[in-house]
Amino acid sequence: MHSDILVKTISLKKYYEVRSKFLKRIIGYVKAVDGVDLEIKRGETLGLVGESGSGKSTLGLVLSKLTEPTSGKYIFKGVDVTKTPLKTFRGKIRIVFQDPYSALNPRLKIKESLIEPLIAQGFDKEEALAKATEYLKLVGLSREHLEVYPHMLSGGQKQRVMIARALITEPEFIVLDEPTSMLDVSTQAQILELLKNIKLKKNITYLFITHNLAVARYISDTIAIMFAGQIMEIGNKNTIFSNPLHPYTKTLISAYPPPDPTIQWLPEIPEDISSLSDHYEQGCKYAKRCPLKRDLCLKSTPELIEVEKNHSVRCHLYKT
Amino acid sequence: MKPLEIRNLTIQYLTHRGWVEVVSHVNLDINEKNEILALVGESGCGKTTLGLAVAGLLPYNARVINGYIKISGKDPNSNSVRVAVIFQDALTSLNPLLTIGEQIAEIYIHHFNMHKREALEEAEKILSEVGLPGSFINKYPHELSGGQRQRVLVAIAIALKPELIVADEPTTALDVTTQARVLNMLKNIVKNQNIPMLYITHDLALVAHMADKIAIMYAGQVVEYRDKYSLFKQPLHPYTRALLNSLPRVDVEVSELQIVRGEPPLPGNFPNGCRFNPRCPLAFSRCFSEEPSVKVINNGFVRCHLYA
Repeated sequence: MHSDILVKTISLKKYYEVRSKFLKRIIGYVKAVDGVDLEIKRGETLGLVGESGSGKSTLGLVLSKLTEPTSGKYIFKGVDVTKTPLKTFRGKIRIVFQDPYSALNPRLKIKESLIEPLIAQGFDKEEALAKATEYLKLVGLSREHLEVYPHMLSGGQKQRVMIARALITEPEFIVLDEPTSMLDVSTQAQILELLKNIKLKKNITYLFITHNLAVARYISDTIAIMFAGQIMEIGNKNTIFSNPLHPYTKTLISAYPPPDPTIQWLPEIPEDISSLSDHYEQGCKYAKRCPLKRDLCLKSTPELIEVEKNHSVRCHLYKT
Repeated sequence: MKPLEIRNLTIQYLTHRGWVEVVSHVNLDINEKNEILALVGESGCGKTTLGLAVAGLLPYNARVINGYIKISGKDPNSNSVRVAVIFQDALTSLNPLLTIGEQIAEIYIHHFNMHKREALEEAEKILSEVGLPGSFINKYPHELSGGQRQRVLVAIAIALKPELIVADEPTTALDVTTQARVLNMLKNIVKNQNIPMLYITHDLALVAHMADKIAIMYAGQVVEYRDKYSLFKQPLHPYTRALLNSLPRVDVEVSELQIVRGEPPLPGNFPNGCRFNPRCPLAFSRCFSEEPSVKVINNGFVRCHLYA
């Protein structure tokens, strides 16, 4: 028997080449994912939080097998699947994207979009349609929605269809890439509740990618903070919020206001001096922005170290 | 004279189904020169249309059939009124072929009759007010980050020395850290330079810190209008309560979000009676037959039969 760790990565890297305009020579790399070690337990929701450009979506793509890593290992259910073709376990790992408006083919009826993954897996059409009806009900839509086209649905309904389509192959692992960031708050609440209920019912494991810490806090069991392709801090949700360690985590938490005017909101945000791609080659990637940086931070890259049980941080301020 | 006065405003759009009402009988005021009025609602509720009307930018297929807007006593479409607008998407708001300096200078050239050289000098000065180095006047929009572009839009807005700023979701496209910086800057501009602002957003958490007064919009109507402390302390309209309870929070653990069933109605499909009745957990018979009128309560109002 394998352990209860469903998804594991070992120094996973994904670099994109940057080529010169003339002669198309490689002049550098964008290190979108730069050495990520992760473990996601079965039935757990890992909230992956970072700013745009932090590499969180690229990591999601690698974990959903839509792109191959440059190096490192991806272990799924105890088996190294880094080089395994996607087709083998397409049904087991699924992804839901941010934009339900562009994710559905406008020329296909909802039922056709829904049964596509099943047909690809060799189901016959009748069986597939029965399943489509069942899963539409599961996500809170009804049989009538089988016959409509995407433009007749609202954004929230489209995202429900996308979730049904991801669930229909009975996956064990779903990557959710900002699934609610284009939705209104009331619709977002509906979708978050739906995802929580489905997880309990079906014992699915989620990687929930978001830039919104409030959403991450609500949906996740574990939270990983990503910056410039690296995990800066990872831990149990409660420890991350009660005892944030990394300066970047603290900044992120303070940057989002509580919905209460009587609580004074004083975001501690260092000056806007660098973009994500603009960091030191050597040393800590966060050093350019960090208010607490020391000489050491510019010279050596900190390792991700466990400071307490289920709580690791990548920062020179903390030593075991 | 009030910086902004909206009375009984009703706006329709011409669609393939005929004229459709998107804003219905809206009354709103900004009373002070350093006041931020937040207009909060979900997509399709008419908040952007209302913002465009205030800026005198309604599209050709829109018409005002009832009521009026006055900005310091003037019509928003008159030439003497100066309203600046900051839109959500800075990249499409800026001209990619002109430098930042040229785009700011346009304001000085067209509105203040300056020569180009003089205007560029002014542009360089105003950049420092939004926290950007003066050297940025020679840069093009694509060379800037999202937060920097948004600052340029703010610079263009305040260069006009406006009587009112309309900010339509100015930080929605930004990362949280950048958002915090831009919001602080906007608030400081309103408070220090006495430029009132109509701040349009869907995010109640931001409003708690940005706004002085809050107007909650639903299906083309303002359903609640209060000062922010009383609104957050005791939300009156069931929709306002639902919005507040459906927000995940960073600062405290929320175990369950309250869910409002269904979706907001689209213009042209507003239900009879109260427009919130299909989704309201407290709806009773009167809500389905009769449209609630506005009930005035200490410096604000609510549109709900519960308070009749």
